[in-house]
Amino acid sequence: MKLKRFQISLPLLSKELTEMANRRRTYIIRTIYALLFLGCVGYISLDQISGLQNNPLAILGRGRQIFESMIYLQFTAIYLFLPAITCSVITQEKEHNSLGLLLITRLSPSTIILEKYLGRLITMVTFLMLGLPILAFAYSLGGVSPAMFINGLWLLVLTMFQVAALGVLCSSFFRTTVSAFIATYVFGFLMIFGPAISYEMNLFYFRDFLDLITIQLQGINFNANTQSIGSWGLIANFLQNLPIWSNIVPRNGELSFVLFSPYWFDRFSRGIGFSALGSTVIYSIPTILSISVFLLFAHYFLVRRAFLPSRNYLLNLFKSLDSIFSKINQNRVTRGIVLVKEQIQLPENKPIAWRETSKKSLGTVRYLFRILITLEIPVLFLCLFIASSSPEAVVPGAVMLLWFIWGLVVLLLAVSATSLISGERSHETLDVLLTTPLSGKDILAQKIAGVRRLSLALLVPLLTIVLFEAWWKWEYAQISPHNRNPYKLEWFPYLVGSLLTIGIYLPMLIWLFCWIGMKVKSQTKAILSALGVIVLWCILPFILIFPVLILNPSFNEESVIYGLFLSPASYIVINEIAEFQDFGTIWGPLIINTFIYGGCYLLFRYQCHMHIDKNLGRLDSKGNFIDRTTLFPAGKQSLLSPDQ
Amino acid sequence: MSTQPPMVEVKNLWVRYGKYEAVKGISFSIPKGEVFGFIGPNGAGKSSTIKVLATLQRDYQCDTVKINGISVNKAPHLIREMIGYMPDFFGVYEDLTAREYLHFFAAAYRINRKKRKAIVNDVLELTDLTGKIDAPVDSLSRGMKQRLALARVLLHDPDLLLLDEPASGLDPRARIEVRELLVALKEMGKTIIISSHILHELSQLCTSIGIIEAGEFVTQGSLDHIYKRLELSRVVHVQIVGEMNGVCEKIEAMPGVKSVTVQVDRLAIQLQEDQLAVEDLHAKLAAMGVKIRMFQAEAMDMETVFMKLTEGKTA
Repeated sequence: MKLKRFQISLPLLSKELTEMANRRRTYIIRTIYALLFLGCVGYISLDQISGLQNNPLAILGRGRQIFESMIYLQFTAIYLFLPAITCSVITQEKEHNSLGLLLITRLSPSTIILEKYLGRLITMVTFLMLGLPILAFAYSLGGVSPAMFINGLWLLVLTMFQVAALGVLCSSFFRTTVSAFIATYVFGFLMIFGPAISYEMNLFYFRDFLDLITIQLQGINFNANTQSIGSWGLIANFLQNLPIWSNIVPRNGELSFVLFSPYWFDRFSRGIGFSALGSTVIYSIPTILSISVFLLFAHYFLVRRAFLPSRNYLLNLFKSLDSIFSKINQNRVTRGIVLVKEQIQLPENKPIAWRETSKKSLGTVRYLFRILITLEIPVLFLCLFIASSSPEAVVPGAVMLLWFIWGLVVLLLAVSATSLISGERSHETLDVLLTTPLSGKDILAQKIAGVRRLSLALLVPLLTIVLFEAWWKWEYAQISPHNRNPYKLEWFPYLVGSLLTIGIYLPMLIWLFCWIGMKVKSQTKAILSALGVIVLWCILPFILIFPVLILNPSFNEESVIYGLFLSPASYIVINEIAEFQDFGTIWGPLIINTFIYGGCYLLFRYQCHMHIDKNLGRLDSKGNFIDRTTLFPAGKQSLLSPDQ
Repeated sequence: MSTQPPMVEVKNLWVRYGKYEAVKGISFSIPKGEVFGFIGPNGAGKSSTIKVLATLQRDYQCDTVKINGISVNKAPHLIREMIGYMPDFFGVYEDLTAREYLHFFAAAYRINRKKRKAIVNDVLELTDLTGKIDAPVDSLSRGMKQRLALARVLLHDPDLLLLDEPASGLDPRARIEVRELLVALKEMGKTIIISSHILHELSQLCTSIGIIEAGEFVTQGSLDHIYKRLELSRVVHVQIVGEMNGVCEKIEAMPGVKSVTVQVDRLAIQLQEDQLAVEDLHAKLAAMGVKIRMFQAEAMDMETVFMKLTEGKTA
């Protein structure tokens, strides 16, 4: 009898890898990543290497710092890039209507999930493998214990599995890549920092709960009564006798970082031998459980949410809120009173602006008002809370809140402004619009009306925090006029700087995103590109300086300090924490920043306006509009009624 | 006396996408009031040509591309006032109702506000969508969406309609409805350029056709002209009962017979129709005394024309 050879067939994984190998951008991104990564590690190691010219042998034994910096960078890369890599894994199939075809093959849902999951993991592994030469170099220098080495690799792999599983879950649940993309980052953030924030704020008695567990665990170590009766006593006795027990007992608040691997790397990497490894493995259990839960849910949603109709979740949410409010309104007191009756209005002279401001969820006044209320009330509440609890001139809570709101602003503007043109393209309505007599500038001006409204709504919480901080600085200066950092009490420059930044950045971001939306064909790619561009723009100036510093370790960083403002995030950060000492002036950075980003705003606006027809792909309208009735009459019979 | 220019005049039009040549120097002219059928396989260059006329193609080379005597390249804004373009996809906003959709485009075409309501009602009536005026666009069937798109095209009473595959993806009933609508527009004197794969329908509608393949015109002209040209070598299938001794040679010797091919159960006789008509061939065969069981001239419909003239190439 002929024996069948055992074969493992992974067709989906093969397809994913073949596609990846065939894409030119795979190699471009990999090269860029390698350059950035090596640049970062080089920069971080620079201080250690630069001071050792006189005694090169002194570098021996200093591999630990290089190794640690490499591991932390790899963690950062995983948290930053892996959600973007994995979030499209199922949604792409949904968007191309090919998931149904996959589901009717012999591939089971679990196989589909696992093969897709593996495909993206392999992609990330290829990125992480770029760190191997550094790893070898650091290890050869000495100072890296085997436990540290294994711990680092184990936690990196585990984090990769965890983030990828979350991405696959979001991809399986959501219909579009954009919503999966946003959800992966939001849930990722909540997964990592949510417990720590809840702990700090003691939300739902979370701190009390964790502290109770911690005290119980600590109590086992120090007070375990070997004479205790029952199973608890036996467990306590057993744990107490474990050699690693003293090492793994959590310190206060540590359990809130239970899903954040870099924390445990920091905690256990310097330990030695079995104890460190065992502790890491024990604290990895929640992460392993989270991976299993994510994958199980991804499997659960794969078929159930495979054929979702197109939905605007935000609009649907608002509509359901509308129906709730109208139900509440039907009572004895108000009796369904309507203060402002909504009329069905038709477009008059600006049809595109009409659609943007009355048919889009992020452009309609009623809905924008709700967004504003949703943001403003927590902001006001948090400002009051922070004011009552902070004794400092610079309030860390308010600073964090402002940065958070900035992040939200960028996200919302990226989604809405890039979709202006790319959305029309994706819904195949652009060509029809372009054959109307509306000029390109007209189309653009009307299109942007809705985003302008959105930016005005977002302006309010930003202004609230800025005004609060300015007021707080002013108050603080009255109470305590002397501070080690006098810039912290300068409320007026802070206010002017913040207002100018907001006033310039918001329109600049709108025009930048709109420009990207014109250039990139698909809506999803446009949104992802916009977010990618803004993140890169924020970090690129810092990365570009690395080669200079590596090539010339004695390079004076002070001489290019104003280069910091090539990143749009720099001024916001510096102004908030009032770190102007290196500049010696508070107004210089403001002027430079205003000049740079005012210029960028004008440039993006000019690019959008001047090349609108080219970017949209139609012939330029150079002449003035003239009355068509003066041209050759062609139609023999009017379509319109005789009285028209 | 001034003569009116043709509605569409295209000379030596080239469209390239990188190294790929989608349209290779085609020329054609369409007089006013004509319905021009643009026929060709996928990738032949039909949509590219229509896009040039619709001012949606930036990169192209030509000697002339004019609509109503106005150069498309020089005054695209004027051209947009004159044309009604319907792409090969719906191009409808699904978040609007039919009324809002039409008012949207009426405003975009700067139609007088006072006249809009009446115009919208007119076009809805013409497209038989009056009952759906307040229906959300995404609730309409494909056929209705297509008719709504046609209604949109008619809002500003354009001189030239550019319809790219208007009947693609529609069921038979919706196709017939769209065809009837186009016949009505034809009767109104509109100049229409229509590209389609449904050749039978084009034959009932078009006054002239252009068959394009691999970016080049294979033929163009009036349907009669093309039929006649192809019919010059029409094939007649004849089944003869009894002995065939010498019959083939006798037929081949007839003036006007190009060739005779013996097939399994019949003879395929290729005629030069201008020298020997099909009826005359039948009379001559009868006069020869052969017993004819079947006598069938090959049908010359649009599909046959298309298949005869094209080879399935793409540019």
